[in-house]
Amino acid sequence: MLDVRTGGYSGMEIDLAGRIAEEIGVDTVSFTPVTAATHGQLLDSGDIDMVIATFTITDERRLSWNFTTPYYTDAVSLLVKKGSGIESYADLDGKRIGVSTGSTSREALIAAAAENGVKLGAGSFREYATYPEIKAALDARRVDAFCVDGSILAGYLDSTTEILSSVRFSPQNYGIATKLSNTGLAGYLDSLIQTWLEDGTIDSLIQANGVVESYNQ
Amino acid sequence: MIGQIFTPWRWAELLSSWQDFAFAFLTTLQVAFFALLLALCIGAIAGVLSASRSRILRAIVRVYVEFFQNTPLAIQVFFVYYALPYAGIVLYEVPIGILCVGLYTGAYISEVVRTGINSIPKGQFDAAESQGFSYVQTMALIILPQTVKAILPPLANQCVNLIKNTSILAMIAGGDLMYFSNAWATNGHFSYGPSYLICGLLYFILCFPLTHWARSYEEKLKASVQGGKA
Repeated sequence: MLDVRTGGYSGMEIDLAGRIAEEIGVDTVSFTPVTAATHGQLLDSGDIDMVIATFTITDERRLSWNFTTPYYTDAVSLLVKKGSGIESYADLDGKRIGVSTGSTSREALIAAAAENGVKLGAGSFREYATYPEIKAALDARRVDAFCVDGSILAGYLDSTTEILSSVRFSPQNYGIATKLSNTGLAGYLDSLIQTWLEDGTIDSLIQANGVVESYNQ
Repeated sequence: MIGQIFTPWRWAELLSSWQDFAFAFLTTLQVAFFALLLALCIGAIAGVLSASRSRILRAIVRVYVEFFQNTPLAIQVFFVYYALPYAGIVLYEVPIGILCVGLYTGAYISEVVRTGINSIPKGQFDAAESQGFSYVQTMALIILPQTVKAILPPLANQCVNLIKNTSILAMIAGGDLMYFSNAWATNGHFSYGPSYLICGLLYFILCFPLTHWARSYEEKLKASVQGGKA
């Protein structure tokens, strides 16, 4: 997350990036803000070397990029206006759901709703370029729910909204992504993550940043 | 991106979604068509008014033109989409596209019409008046018919801008070609290369004939003027 007063970034993933830089032996990390729609393309173009930004590992994406062992497991949830009357999957029928362009939340919600007997089609979804736009759309009642990973939703929670604890689905593994051709870097990062998962480094980063612990089924 | 364009299975995937692309393309056509109608109506009226003798009418048109020419279309669309619902006015995305792009382009067309009228020598107004023509008759029968020829090329260019500007709907999940191509490109297998290429190609197919026609018409016009003098 960008602190507009200091101009610096902070958060669990930023700390993780710092640890990696320490390990490699470089002093400064150059951060580039990305969205679900841009991170893969920026890797391909060579603008950035790695993505450590809630990038969900999927089989489809493994065709296009390398991923490390997951450093965090999140679950998708919904942010709704208080008093919206949305409490379960059944209430989502005929509602408009805001998602980020390129995120996996859309397919995940369709699948989770189907398991609960609710059919959601493409017409149920509105895709926006950035998360703040989805929050603005929710506030303007353009959408009825904001659907994304719980860790991200927590950043948009305010006095007029609530995160639905009754709709939590699709655990997602976040890994560090690198360009498909850069297998050397991918292997190196993977061994770092594995070591840090075992020795508790990752857990301490999660706790230090006040992040909800990894989703456990 | 280039690598993707030479990957056959990504094109096969795109082909299997052709109906969705066609629907999005039709949405763009629909917005462009009605926005153009709106822009032509507003532009013609505002353009004639801005060449009128009434100072108040000219001032009203000036405010309209300056407002829409000097603020970004994106802000206008965001205002209607995100802010107006707080005032109880909720328009859907396609009507927002027609309204915003129509009003925005109308301001430019108004300027095109105004300069067209101004290009007619002032002596013609005086001559018409001396022959007993009223102001409306002068405009409708003498000035505007001469103007049409000269303003067709810039009008075609405004039409091209209008078509491309409908892609602003992508920012508010409008279901148009740009929105759908981007949504499709960033879901499933992330075949953004073919998707963006097709998207660009479809806009090009719409716009190129217009710009091409405008240029050749303009050249013909120039040639005929020079031929007339010779």
